Amino acid sequence: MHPLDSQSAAQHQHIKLLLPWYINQSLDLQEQQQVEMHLQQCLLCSCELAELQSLAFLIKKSAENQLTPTASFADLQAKIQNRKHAQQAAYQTNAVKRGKLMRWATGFLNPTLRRSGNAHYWAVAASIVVALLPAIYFAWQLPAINTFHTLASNEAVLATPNRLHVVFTQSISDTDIDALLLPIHAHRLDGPNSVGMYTLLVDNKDDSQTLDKAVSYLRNQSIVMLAEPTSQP
Amino acid sequence: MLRLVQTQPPATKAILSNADMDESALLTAIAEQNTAAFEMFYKIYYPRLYRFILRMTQFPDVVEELIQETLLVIWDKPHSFNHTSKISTWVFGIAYNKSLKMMSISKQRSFDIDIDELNDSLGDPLANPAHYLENADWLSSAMTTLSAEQRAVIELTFYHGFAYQEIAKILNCPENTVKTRMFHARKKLQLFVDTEEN
Repeated sequence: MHPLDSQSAAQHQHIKLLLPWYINQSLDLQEQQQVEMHLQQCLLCSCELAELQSLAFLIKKSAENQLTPTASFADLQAKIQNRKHAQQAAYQTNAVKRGKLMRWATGFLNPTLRRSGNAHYWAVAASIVVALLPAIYFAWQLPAINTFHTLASNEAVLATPNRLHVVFTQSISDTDIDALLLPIHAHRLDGPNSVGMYTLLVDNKDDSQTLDKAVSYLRNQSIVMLAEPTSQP
Repeated sequence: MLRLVQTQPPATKAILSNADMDESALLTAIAEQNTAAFEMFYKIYYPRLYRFILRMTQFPDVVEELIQETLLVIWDKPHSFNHTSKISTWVFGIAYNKSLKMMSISKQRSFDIDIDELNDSLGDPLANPAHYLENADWLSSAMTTLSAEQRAVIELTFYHGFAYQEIAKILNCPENTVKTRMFHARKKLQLFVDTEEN
């Protein structure tokens, strides 16, 4: 039977495009049943299916010679180690540079040199101050950062029941935040402060497991940079 | 450098789904910089990525490097997995992007040619089927006539057993694009399937 006699061309085309995934058995149940019903009455799709099965068989049976993963992993481990050493070396180099800078600054501000009345010294010092003026001005204009304690401190602290601190990776609307908090039955209590931190209240009725689940849920969200229970000061 | 070489059997859906290792647990351990977990993860994905990258890029020389680059991302940024897809979808997506980037840099991407051009380059397979049956690499030759994206769709579907929705995530394109790429790719490859059957 010609497929277009019994089904629309669009439906036929739709099923035809699904055949590769019917073969690899990854269609959902509804699509799978659609395909099976269509195949019972469409000779063209049945032929297409047979040809695709041949192609799938050929592709599956073609094996590859490959290097052993063990050797490859050892190579990668060596690269990771080398990278770590390079980072440490770079840190040490920077430390040496910082030391040199400190020695230069100390030498430059040497009282003996200052007392000498060296014109060159005062000219350089004045130019440094002028150069730093904009930075000093803008630093002065910066809003004060509200500090907050986290559980990541060395000292043992207790979690405040029901409350969480959250920092997002990007600017996010209140509506989006509320939608994000819906599954964990939490709402905004305060924030954002100058560093973008929100304080949340979880309706968990002092259930620590619910609080842990809420933290875990938030940490799994890609837009959440930090999520942890608040600490008692 | 001389290394051991082994032939891997084709991966099947059953083998992949019955893996003893819980990839999610391994990823959690990797996030804690657990080297043993990373090695397990590496060995699970190495054969799959090797096959996929080789078939997609057609450059054996870069496969090893691309596998390492892909799995280095897993080691460096395990937290970047957002749990909206399967771990394998995420890993293959990284491998696909890195492969495409490498191909665009080397400017050696193969171009689509039509069936007539294919016949001109390979001759008429029906005219001398014995010649083609002797040539064990004819499928690889046919695959070179496809674009990298088409090869990726073919491989991810028939060898790795991904659903079209997952392939759309890996290739970062609409689901319909996956279906049409498959449609055009299989039309070209059909010629070679017919040859094999004859």
